[in-house]
Amino acid sequence: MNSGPIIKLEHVRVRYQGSDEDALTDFNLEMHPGEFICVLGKSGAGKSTMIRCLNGLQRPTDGSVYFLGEDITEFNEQGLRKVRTNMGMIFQHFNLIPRLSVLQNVLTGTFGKRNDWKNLIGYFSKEERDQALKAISSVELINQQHKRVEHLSGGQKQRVAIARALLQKPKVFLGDEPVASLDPGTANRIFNLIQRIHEKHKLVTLINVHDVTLAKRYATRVLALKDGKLIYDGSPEDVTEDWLVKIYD
Amino acid sequence: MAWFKRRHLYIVIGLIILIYFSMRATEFNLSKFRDFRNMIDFLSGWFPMNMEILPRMIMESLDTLAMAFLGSFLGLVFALPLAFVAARNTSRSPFLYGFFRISLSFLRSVPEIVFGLILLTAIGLGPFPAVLAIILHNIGVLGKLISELIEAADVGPQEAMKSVGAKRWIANIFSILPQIWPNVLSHYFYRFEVAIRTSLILGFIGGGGIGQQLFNHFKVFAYSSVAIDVFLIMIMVIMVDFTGSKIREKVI
Ligand SMILES: Nc1ncnc2c1ncn2[C@@H]1O[C@H](COP(=O)(O)OP(=O)(O)O)[C@@H](O)[C@H]1O
Ligand SMILES: [Mg+2]
Repeated sequence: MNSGPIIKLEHVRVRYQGSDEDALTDFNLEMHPGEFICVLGKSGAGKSTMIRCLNGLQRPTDGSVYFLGEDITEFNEQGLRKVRTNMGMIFQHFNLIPRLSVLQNVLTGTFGKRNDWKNLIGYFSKEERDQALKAISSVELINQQHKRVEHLSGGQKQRVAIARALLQKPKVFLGDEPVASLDPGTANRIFNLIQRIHEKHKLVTLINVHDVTLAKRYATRVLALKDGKLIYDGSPEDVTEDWLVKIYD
Repeated sequence: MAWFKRRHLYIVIGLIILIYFSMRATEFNLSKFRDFRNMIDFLSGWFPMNMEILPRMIMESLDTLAMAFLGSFLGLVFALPLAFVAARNTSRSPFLYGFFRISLSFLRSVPEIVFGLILLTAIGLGPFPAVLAIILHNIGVLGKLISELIEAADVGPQEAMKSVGAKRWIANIFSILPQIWPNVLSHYFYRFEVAIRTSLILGFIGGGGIGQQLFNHFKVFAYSSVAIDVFLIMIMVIMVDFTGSKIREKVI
C-alpha cells in the first residue's frame, strides 16, 4: 500500500460562506511518499485554503480528500482529529502558546494522542519528556528549553513550532508560509532544517512559499496556484521566467 | 478647527442639555454649600478617633475583606467556564451562546443589594447572604468581561492546537487562557475592590463586617468611632489595590 498516494484531492472546490467566488476550483492533487512540495501563488490565490483542506481544518464544499485511502470529508470531528495528529503544521506567525516555555509548547504536540485530563494537569511520562527534549535538540534549542517563547527571535519561534510538529510523529508536514515573516538568511536556515527533518523522518512535505528561490532550491516538486486553480505542477527546474510572470502577474 | 466636524457641535449641545436636566433632577446646586460650617462642625466631631474600638474594628474589617474576597473569587471561579460557553468563538452552538449571554446579562443587571434583600428573606441576616449576592453579581460581570476577552483572542494559537488534533475544550483552554490571563487578573482585582465597597453597603442591611459597624455608629452619633471605621475602609481599599497591581506586574 506504500506505493499509493498519501494524500489525494479529487475535484475539491471550496467556496466560503458569503462569497460569490470559489477560493479553490476543481482541485486535483496526489502527494506521494518522499515528496517535498512547494506551493507558489500570489496572496489570495488559495494556498492557505488548500493546505487547510489537507488536514481537515477546512471542509471542502465539493469533492473528496483522501488520506491513506480514506475520504476524510466523510469523517466526523473525532475522525478528523485523528487525521490531524498525523500531520504536523507550522504557520507564518508561529502560533505558539504565549506565557509557556519552549518545552511546554513542544509538549502540546502530543495533545491529540493523550488523555485530556493528563493534558490539563500537565502530566507527562519520562518517555514523553525525553521525546520532547529530543525534538528540541534536533531544532537546536536545548539551551532555551525553559525560556518563555515570547522572549525568542522569529527564527527560534519557528523552530519551536517545528519541534512541536515533530512531537506528533507526523507522516505529513505542512507549512503555511512559514518563513514569510523571517529575514532571508533565517528563512533559508528554516528551510534547511525542514529538509533535514523531511529526509530523516521520511515525510511528505508541502509548504507554501512566496520566495521562488527557496522553492527552487528545496522542492522536489512545485505547484502554482492562481485564482483557486492549479496552473503549474512539475519540477522546480522547469519553473521558468515565463511561468513566474504568469503566476505573479 | 481642523479636528472638528459639525457632528461634534451637535454632540456638545446634546451633552449640555443632558447635564442641565440631570442637574434639575438631582437638585444639583452649589449655593446650598451656605451651610458649609455645619459640615466642618460635624467632621470635627470625628476627632480624636475612638482608638478603644480599633482592635475590634480591625476584626470586623477582616470579615469585610473575607466577604469581598470570597464573593469576587468564587464569582471568578464560576464566571471563567461560563465565559467560554458565552463567547461566540468557543460556544458549542448559537443557542447555548445566546442562552448564556442573556443569563449573564440578567445576573449583571440585578444589583447586589437586591440579591442581598431577596436572600435575606431565605437565610436571614449575616455575611453569608451578602457573599452570595456578591458572587451572583460578579458571575454576571466577570462572565461578560471574560467572554469578550475570549472573543478578541488571537486565533493563531487556536489553529495550532486544532492542528495537533487536540479536543476542542483542551484546545480552547490552552490556546486562549494564557493569552487573556493578565487581563482576567486585572478585571478580577478591580472587582475585588468594588466588592469591598459593596460589602459595606450590604453591611447596612445586616450583612455584618465593618459596613454594619459604620451604619450602627452613624445611627448612635458615635462619630469618633465612625472615623475609625472610615479610616480602616480606606486602608483596606488601598491595600487591595496595591497587592492587585503588584500581582499584575508579576504576571505580565
Ligand atoms: N475565512 C474566509 N472567509 C471568506 N473568504 C476567505 C476566507 N479565507 C480566505 N478567503 C478568500 O479565499 C481566497 C483564497 O484565500 P487564501 O486561501 O487565504 O489565499 P492565499 O493563502 O493564497 O493567500 C481569497 O480570495 C480570500 O479572500
Ligand atoms: Mg495564505
